[in-house]
Amino acid sequence: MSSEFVECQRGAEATLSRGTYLGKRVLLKRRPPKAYRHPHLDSALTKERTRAEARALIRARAAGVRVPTLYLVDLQRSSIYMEDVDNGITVKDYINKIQPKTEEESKLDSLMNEIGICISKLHSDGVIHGDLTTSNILVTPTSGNFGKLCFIDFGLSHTASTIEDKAVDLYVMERAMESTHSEAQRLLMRLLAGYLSHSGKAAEDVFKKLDQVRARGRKRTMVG
Amino acid sequence: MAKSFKLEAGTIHMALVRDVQNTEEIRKKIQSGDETLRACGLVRPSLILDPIQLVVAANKSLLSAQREDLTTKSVITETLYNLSPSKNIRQSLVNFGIGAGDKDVLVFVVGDDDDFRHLEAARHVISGRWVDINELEGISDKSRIKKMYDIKDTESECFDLLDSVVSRIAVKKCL
Repeated sequence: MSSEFVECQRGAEATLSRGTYLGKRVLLKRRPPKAYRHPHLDSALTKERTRAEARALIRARAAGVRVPTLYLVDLQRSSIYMEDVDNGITVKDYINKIQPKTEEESKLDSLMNEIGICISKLHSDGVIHGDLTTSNILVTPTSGNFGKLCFIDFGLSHTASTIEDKAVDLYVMERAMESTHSEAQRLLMRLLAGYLSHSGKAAEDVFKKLDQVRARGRKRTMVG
Repeated sequence: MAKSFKLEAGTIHMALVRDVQNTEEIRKKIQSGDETLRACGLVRPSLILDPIQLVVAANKSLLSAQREDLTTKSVITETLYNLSPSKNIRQSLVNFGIGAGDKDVLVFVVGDDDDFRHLEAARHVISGRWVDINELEGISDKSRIKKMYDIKDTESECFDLLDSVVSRIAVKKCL
Protein backbone atom coordinates (compact mmCIF):
# COMPACT_ATOMS: atom_id res chain seq x y z
CA MET A 1 0.00 0.00 0.00
CA SER A 2 2.67 2.49 0.97
CA SER A 3 4.46 1.76 -2.30
CA GLU A 4 1.73 3.68 -4.09
CA PHE A 5 2.70 6.83 -2.24
CA VAL A 6 4.86 9.30 -4.09
CA GLU A 7 7.21 11.42 -2.07
CA CYS A 8 6.68 15.12 -2.63
CA GLN A 9 8.67 16.84 0.08
CA ARG A 10 11.38 15.99 2.50
CA GLY A 11 12.41 17.96 5.53
CA ALA A 12 14.79 17.38 8.37
CA GLU A 13 12.10 15.86 10.50
CA ALA A 14 9.71 14.12 8.15
CA THR A 15 8.88 13.16 4.60
CA LEU A 16 5.61 13.98 2.89
CA SER A 17 4.07 11.74 0.26
CA ARG A 18 0.87 11.84 -1.70
CA GLY A 19 -1.35 8.88 -2.39
CA THR A 20 -4.73 7.30 -1.93
CA TYR A 21 -5.77 5.83 1.39
CA LEU A 22 -9.20 4.47 2.29
CA GLY A 23 -10.44 5.91 -0.98
CA LYS A 24 -9.33 9.45 -0.15
CA ARG A 25 -6.53 11.56 -1.55
CA VAL A 26 -4.19 11.85 1.37
CA LEU A 27 -0.91 13.27 2.46
CA LEU A 28 1.29 10.93 4.43
CA LYS A 29 3.65 12.51 6.90
CA ARG A 30 6.22 10.08 8.11
CA ARG A 31 9.10 10.63 10.46
CA PRO A 32 11.87 8.27 9.42
CA PRO A 33 14.20 6.90 12.09
CA LYS A 34 17.39 8.83 12.64
CA ALA A 35 20.40 6.57 12.56
CA TYR A 36 22.57 8.84 14.67
CA ARG A 37 20.35 8.48 17.72
CA HIS A 38 20.14 5.52 20.02
CA PRO A 39 17.18 3.45 18.74
CA HIS A 40 15.31 3.63 22.05
CA LEU A 41 15.67 7.36 22.35
CA ASP A 42 14.84 7.78 18.67
CA SER A 43 11.59 5.85 18.84
CA ALA A 44 10.55 7.59 22.04
CA LEU A 45 11.19 11.04 20.58
CA THR A 46 9.56 10.26 17.25
CA LYS A 47 6.48 8.81 18.91
CA GLU A 48 6.17 11.79 21.19
CA ARG A 49 6.44 14.23 18.29
CA THR A 50 3.91 12.41 16.17
CA ARG A 51 1.57 12.34 19.13
CA ALA A 52 2.12 16.03 19.87
CA GLU A 53 1.35 16.94 16.28
CA ALA A 54 -1.87 14.91 16.26
CA ARG A 55 -2.92 16.48 19.53
CA ALA A 56 -2.26 19.99 18.25
CA LEU A 57 -4.26 19.31 15.09
CA ILE A 58 -7.26 18.23 17.13
CA ARG A 59 -6.93 21.20 19.47
CA ALA A 60 -6.60 23.65 16.59
CA ARG A 61 -9.73 22.25 15.01
CA ALA A 62 -11.61 22.53 18.28
CA ALA A 63 -10.50 26.16 18.47
CA GLY A 64 -12.20 26.77 15.14
CA VAL A 65 -9.13 26.85 12.91
CA ARG A 66 -9.29 24.70 9.83
CA VAL A 67 -6.65 21.97 9.66
CA PRO A 68 -6.44 18.83 7.51
CA THR A 69 -8.78 15.98 8.46
CA LEU A 70 -6.95 13.02 9.98
CA TYR A 71 -7.52 9.50 8.69
CA LEU A 72 -4.99 7.54 10.68
CA VAL A 73 -2.36 8.31 13.25
CA ASP A 74 0.01 5.38 13.48
CA LEU A 75 2.58 5.75 16.23
CA GLN A 76 4.27 2.47 15.36
CA ARG A 77 5.08 3.65 11.87
CA SER A 78 5.33 7.25 13.12
CA SER A 79 2.97 8.22 10.34
CA ILE A 80 0.04 10.57 10.04
CA TYR A 81 -2.38 10.08 7.18
CA MET A 82 -4.27 13.29 6.56
CA GLU A 83 -6.42 15.09 4.06
CA ASP A 84 -4.62 16.42 1.00
CA VAL A 85 -6.41 19.75 0.78
CA ASP A 86 -8.13 20.11 -2.60
CA ASN A 87 -6.64 22.88 -4.72
CA GLY A 88 -4.66 24.06 -1.73
CA ILE A 89 -1.72 26.34 -2.39
CA THR A 90 0.46 28.04 0.18
CA VAL A 91 -0.26 31.64 1.09
CA LYS A 92 3.31 32.35 -0.02
CA ASP A 93 2.67 31.12 -3.56
CA TYR A 94 -0.69 32.82 -3.59
CA ILE A 95 0.78 36.21 -2.70
CA ASN A 96 3.60 35.82 -5.22
CA LYS A 97 1.21 34.90 -8.01
CA ILE A 98 -1.08 37.85 -7.50
CA GLN A 99 -0.90 40.51 -10.18
CA PRO A 100 -0.62 44.04 -8.82
CA LYS A 101 -3.68 46.27 -9.02
CA THR A 102 -6.14 43.45 -9.54
CA GLU A 103 -9.16 42.51 -7.54
CA GLU A 104 -7.18 39.73 -5.90
CA GLU A 105 -4.67 42.20 -4.57
CA SER A 106 -7.40 44.03 -2.74
CA LYS A 107 -8.40 40.72 -1.18
CA LEU A 108 -4.95 40.42 0.37
CA ASP A 109 -5.86 42.70 3.23
CA SER A 110 -8.80 40.58 4.21
CA LEU A 111 -6.72 37.43 3.83
CA MET A 112 -4.13 38.76 6.26
CA ASN A 113 -6.88 39.87 8.59
CA GLU A 114 -8.33 36.37 8.50
CA ILE A 115 -4.93 34.83 9.22
CA GLY A 116 -4.56 37.13 12.22
CA ILE A 117 -7.95 36.02 13.53
CA CYS A 118 -7.04 32.35 13.14
CA ILE A 119 -3.72 32.78 14.96
CA SER A 120 -5.60 34.53 17.72
CA LYS A 121 -8.08 31.65 17.93
CA LEU A 122 -5.18 29.22 18.31
CA HIS A 123 -3.55 31.35 20.97
CA SER A 124 -6.74 31.82 22.95
CA ASP A 125 -6.94 28.05 23.25
CA GLY A 126 -3.30 27.74 24.19
CA VAL A 127 -2.09 26.29 20.90
CA ILE A 128 1.26 27.72 19.84
CA HIS A 129 1.95 26.74 16.24
CA GLY A 130 5.69 27.17 16.57
CA ASP A 131 6.46 27.52 12.88
CA LEU A 132 4.12 30.13 11.48
CA THR A 133 5.11 31.07 7.96
CA THR A 134 3.18 31.86 4.82
CA SER A 135 4.22 28.40 3.60
CA ASN A 136 2.42 26.71 6.45
CA ILE A 137 -0.96 28.23 5.70
CA LEU A 138 -2.94 27.05 2.69
CA VAL A 139 -5.65 28.82 0.75
CA THR A 140 -8.03 27.30 -1.76
CA PRO A 141 -8.41 30.07 -4.34
CA THR A 142 -11.54 30.27 -6.42
CA SER A 143 -12.16 32.96 -9.01
CA GLY A 144 -10.97 36.18 -7.41
CA ASN A 145 -11.18 34.94 -3.85
CA PHE A 146 -8.71 33.17 -1.60
CA GLY A 147 -11.20 30.58 -0.45
CA LYS A 148 -10.72 28.78 2.83
CA LEU A 149 -7.69 28.93 5.06
CA CYS A 150 -6.07 25.77 6.28
CA PHE A 151 -3.22 25.69 8.78
CA ILE A 152 -0.67 22.92 8.32
CA ASP A 153 2.52 21.54 9.83
CA PHE A 154 2.00 21.51 13.56
CA GLY A 155 5.25 19.60 13.93
CA LEU A 156 6.83 22.27 16.10
CA SER A 157 3.73 23.20 18.03
CA HIS A 158 3.22 23.06 21.73
CA THR A 159 0.57 24.14 24.16
CA ALA A 160 1.25 27.13 26.32
CA SER A 161 -0.65 30.12 27.49
CA THR A 162 2.11 32.52 28.36
CA ILE A 163 2.35 35.88 26.65
CA GLU A 164 5.98 35.13 25.86
CA ASP A 165 5.08 32.07 23.78
CA LYS A 166 2.39 33.90 21.85
CA ALA A 167 4.66 36.87 21.16
CA VAL A 168 7.43 34.60 19.91
CA ASP A 169 4.92 32.77 17.70
CA LEU A 170 3.97 36.08 16.09
CA TYR A 171 7.60 37.11 15.87
CA VAL A 172 8.43 33.95 13.93
CA MET A 173 5.65 34.81 11.48
CA GLU A 174 6.93 38.36 11.21
CA ARG A 175 10.48 37.32 10.44
CA ALA A 176 9.33 34.71 7.95
CA MET A 177 7.23 37.26 6.10
CA GLU A 178 9.91 39.93 6.09
CA SER A 179 12.23 37.55 4.32
CA THR A 180 9.72 36.34 1.75
CA HIS A 181 7.43 39.22 0.85
CA SER A 182 8.29 42.67 -0.37
CA GLU A 183 5.18 44.17 1.15
CA ALA A 184 5.66 42.41 4.44
CA GLN A 185 5.15 45.47 6.63
CA ARG A 186 1.77 46.36 5.21
CA LEU A 187 0.62 42.75 5.29
CA LEU A 188 1.78 42.32 8.85
CA MET A 189 -0.16 45.38 9.95
CA ARG A 190 -3.32 43.75 8.63
CA LEU A 191 -2.46 40.48 10.29
CA LEU A 192 -1.92 42.09 13.66
CA ALA A 193 -5.11 44.09 13.26
CA GLY A 194 -6.98 40.82 12.72
CA TYR A 195 -5.30 39.35 15.77
CA LEU A 196 -6.28 42.38 17.82
CA SER A 197 -9.87 42.31 16.62
CA HIS A 198 -10.30 38.78 17.92
CA SER A 199 -8.12 38.76 21.02
CA GLY A 200 -9.04 42.21 22.27
CA LYS A 201 -7.33 43.14 25.51
CA ALA A 202 -5.21 40.02 25.60
CA ALA A 203 -3.64 41.12 22.32
CA GLU A 204 -2.30 44.33 23.82
CA ASP A 205 -0.15 42.42 26.27
CA VAL A 206 1.07 40.16 23.50
CA PHE A 207 1.96 43.17 21.33
CA LYS A 208 3.85 44.78 24.19
CA LYS A 209 5.82 41.59 24.61
CA LEU A 210 6.30 41.39 20.84
CA ASP A 211 8.14 44.71 20.95
CA GLN A 212 10.53 43.27 23.52
CA VAL A 213 11.02 40.12 21.48
CA ARG A 214 11.82 42.21 18.41
CA ALA A 215 14.52 43.97 20.37
CA ARG A 216 16.18 40.86 21.66
CA GLY A 217 15.31 38.04 19.27
CA ARG A 218 13.45 34.80 19.65
CA LYS A 219 15.40 33.34 22.54
CA ARG A 220 14.88 34.76 25.95
CA THR A 221 17.98 33.28 27.44
CA MET A 222 21.38 33.23 25.80
CA VAL A 223 21.73 29.51 26.24
CA GLY A 224 21.25 26.95 23.49
CA MET B 1 -27.38 -2.72 -1.58
CA ALA B 2 -24.36 -3.64 0.43
CA LYS B 3 -21.17 -1.77 -0.11
CA SER B 4 -17.53 -2.71 0.24
CA PHE B 5 -14.57 -0.47 1.02
CA LYS B 6 -10.87 -1.24 0.79
CA LEU B 7 -8.91 -0.96 3.99
CA GLU B 8 -5.14 -0.84 4.22
CA ALA B 9 -4.97 -4.54 4.96
CA GLY B 10 -8.36 -5.91 4.03
CA THR B 11 -11.91 -5.01 3.19
CA ILE B 12 -15.01 -3.92 5.06
CA HIS B 13 -18.46 -4.81 3.81
CA MET B 14 -21.47 -3.01 5.16
CA ALA B 15 -25.20 -2.87 4.67
CA LEU B 16 -28.02 -0.86 6.14
CA VAL B 17 -31.18 -2.58 7.36
CA ARG B 18 -34.28 -0.61 8.28
CA ASP B 19 -37.47 -1.53 10.11
CA VAL B 20 -35.77 -4.45 11.74
CA GLN B 21 -38.32 -6.62 13.49
CA ASN B 22 -36.20 -9.00 15.49
CA THR B 23 -33.63 -6.76 17.14
CA GLU B 24 -33.95 -8.51 20.49
CA GLU B 25 -33.51 -11.94 18.92
CA ILE B 26 -30.44 -10.75 17.02
CA ARG B 27 -28.90 -9.33 20.16
CA LYS B 28 -29.38 -12.59 21.99
CA LYS B 29 -27.87 -14.51 19.10
CA ILE B 30 -24.80 -12.31 19.10
CA GLN B 31 -24.35 -12.65 22.83
CA SER B 32 -24.58 -16.43 22.60
CA GLY B 33 -22.05 -16.53 19.76
CA ASP B 34 -24.37 -17.56 16.94
CA GLU B 35 -22.62 -19.10 13.91
CA THR B 36 -24.14 -16.93 11.20
CA LEU B 37 -23.72 -13.64 12.98
CA ARG B 38 -20.35 -14.30 14.50
CA ALA B 39 -18.45 -12.49 11.79
CA CYS B 40 -20.82 -9.52 11.75
CA GLY B 41 -20.73 -6.32 13.69
CA LEU B 42 -23.88 -4.30 14.31
CA VAL B 43 -23.71 -0.54 14.73
CA ARG B 44 -26.33 1.97 15.62
CA PRO B 45 -26.68 3.95 12.38
CA SER B 46 -27.96 7.08 14.08
CA LEU B 47 -24.39 7.64 15.30
CA ILE B 48 -22.82 7.16 11.88
CA LEU B 49 -22.67 10.11 9.49
CA ASP B 50 -21.07 8.42 6.54
CA PRO B 51 -19.50 5.04 5.69
CA ILE B 52 -16.03 6.59 5.94
CA GLN B 53 -16.54 6.96 9.69
CA LEU B 54 -16.87 3.19 10.03
CA VAL B 55 -14.13 2.62 7.47
CA VAL B 56 -11.58 4.66 9.46
CA ALA B 57 -12.48 2.85 12.69
CA ALA B 58 -12.34 -0.61 11.08
CA ASN B 59 -9.05 0.14 9.35
CA LYS B 60 -7.52 0.99 12.70
CA SER B 61 -8.88 -2.17 14.27
CA LEU B 62 -7.51 -4.40 11.56
CA LEU B 63 -4.06 -2.84 11.91
CA SER B 64 -4.16 -3.42 15.67
CA ALA B 65 -5.23 -7.02 15.11
CA GLN B 66 -2.30 -7.65 12.79
CA ARG B 67 0.06 -6.32 15.42
CA GLU B 68 -1.69 -8.30 18.12
CA ASP B 69 -2.39 -5.05 19.83
CA LEU B 70 -6.17 -5.18 20.20
CA THR B 71 -7.66 -3.46 23.22
CA THR B 72 -10.82 -5.53 23.01
CA LYS B 73 -11.47 -9.16 22.14
CA SER B 74 -12.09 -9.04 18.41
CA VAL B 75 -11.82 -6.82 15.36
CA ILE B 76 -15.56 -6.24 15.55
CA THR B 77 -15.68 -5.07 19.14
CA GLU B 78 -12.49 -3.11 18.50
CA THR B 79 -14.24 -1.29 15.66
CA LEU B 80 -17.14 -0.34 17.92
CA TYR B 81 -14.60 0.72 20.52
CA ASN B 82 -12.64 2.78 18.00
CA LEU B 83 -15.82 4.53 16.91
CA SER B 84 -16.41 5.64 20.44
CA PRO B 85 -14.66 8.61 22.05
CA SER B 86 -14.86 6.84 25.40
CA LYS B 87 -12.02 4.76 26.82
CA ASN B 88 -14.50 2.54 28.57
CA ILE B 89 -15.01 -0.58 26.48
CA ARG B 90 -18.37 -1.57 27.91
CA GLN B 91 -19.72 1.95 27.54
CA SER B 92 -18.49 2.09 23.96
CA LEU B 93 -20.24 -1.15 23.04
CA VAL B 94 -23.46 0.03 24.68
CA ASN B 95 -23.32 3.38 22.91
CA PHE B 96 -22.40 2.21 19.45
CA GLY B 97 -23.82 -1.30 19.42
CA ILE B 98 -27.53 -1.78 18.81
CA GLY B 99 -30.02 -1.55 21.65
CA ALA B 100 -33.18 -3.53 22.29
CA GLY B 101 -35.57 -1.01 20.77
CA ASP B 102 -33.52 -0.12 17.69
CA LYS B 103 -35.27 -0.36 14.34
CA ASP B 104 -32.31 0.52 12.13
CA VAL B 105 -29.13 -1.49 12.02
CA LEU B 106 -25.85 -1.05 10.20
CA VAL B 107 -24.25 -4.47 9.65
CA PHE B 108 -20.57 -4.81 8.81
CA VAL B 109 -18.01 -7.49 8.22
CA VAL B 110 -14.27 -6.84 8.39
CA GLY B 111 -11.91 -9.23 6.61
CA ASP B 112 -11.09 -9.78 2.96
CA ASP B 113 -13.12 -9.67 -0.26
CA ASP B 114 -14.34 -13.19 0.35
CA ASP B 115 -16.00 -12.35 3.65
CA PHE B 116 -18.87 -10.75 1.84
CA ARG B 117 -20.62 -14.09 2.23
CA HIS B 118 -21.05 -13.43 5.94
CA LEU B 119 -23.10 -10.38 5.07
CA GLU B 120 -25.15 -12.48 2.65
CA ALA B 121 -25.72 -15.05 5.35
CA ALA B 122 -26.87 -12.37 7.79
CA ARG B 123 -29.70 -11.58 5.43
CA HIS B 124 -31.48 -14.71 6.58
CA VAL B 125 -31.22 -13.77 10.22
CA ILE B 126 -31.86 -10.04 10.24
CA SER B 127 -35.38 -9.47 9.04
CA GLY B 128 -36.01 -5.98 7.79
CA ARG B 129 -35.65 -3.84 4.68
CA TRP B 130 -32.13 -4.00 3.28
CA VAL B 131 -31.76 -0.53 1.82
CA ASP B 132 -29.13 1.52 0.04
CA ILE B 133 -26.32 2.69 2.30
CA ASN B 134 -27.00 6.25 1.18
CA GLU B 135 -30.08 6.27 3.36
CA LEU B 136 -27.68 6.63 6.27
CA GLU B 137 -27.80 10.36 5.68
CA GLY B 138 -31.42 10.54 6.74
CA ILE B 139 -30.89 8.41 9.84
CA SER B 140 -27.82 9.96 11.44
CA ASP B 141 -28.62 12.17 14.38
CA LYS B 142 -26.25 15.13 14.13
CA SER B 143 -26.97 16.70 17.47
CA ARG B 144 -26.47 13.40 19.25
CA ILE B 145 -23.24 12.82 17.39
CA LYS B 146 -22.03 16.27 18.37
CA LYS B 147 -22.78 15.55 21.98
CA MET B 148 -21.26 12.08 21.84
CA TYR B 149 -17.94 13.31 20.45
CA ASP B 150 -18.06 16.47 22.53
CA ILE B 151 -17.84 18.78 19.54
CA LYS B 152 -18.49 22.37 20.54
CA ASP B 153 -20.16 25.02 18.42
CA THR B 154 -16.88 26.86 17.79
CA GLU B 155 -15.85 23.78 15.85
CA SER B 156 -19.07 22.60 14.28
CA GLU B 157 -20.02 26.07 13.04
CA CYS B 158 -16.83 26.28 11.03
CA PHE B 159 -16.37 22.83 9.57
CA ASP B 160 -17.94 19.70 8.32
CA LEU B 161 -19.05 17.54 11.25
CA LEU B 162 -17.87 14.40 9.48
CA ASP B 163 -14.28 15.70 9.28
CA SER B 164 -14.29 16.44 12.99
CA VAL B 165 -15.61 13.01 13.88
CA VAL B 166 -13.23 11.17 11.56
CA SER B 167 -10.23 13.11 12.92
CA ARG B 168 -11.17 12.16 16.47
CA ILE B 169 -11.46 8.49 15.57
CA ALA B 170 -8.08 8.64 13.84
CA VAL B 171 -6.29 9.90 16.94
CA LYS B 172 -8.01 7.62 19.42
CA LYS B 173 -5.53 5.74 21.61
CA CYS B 174 -2.75 8.02 20.34
CA LEU B 175 -3.15 11.02 22.55
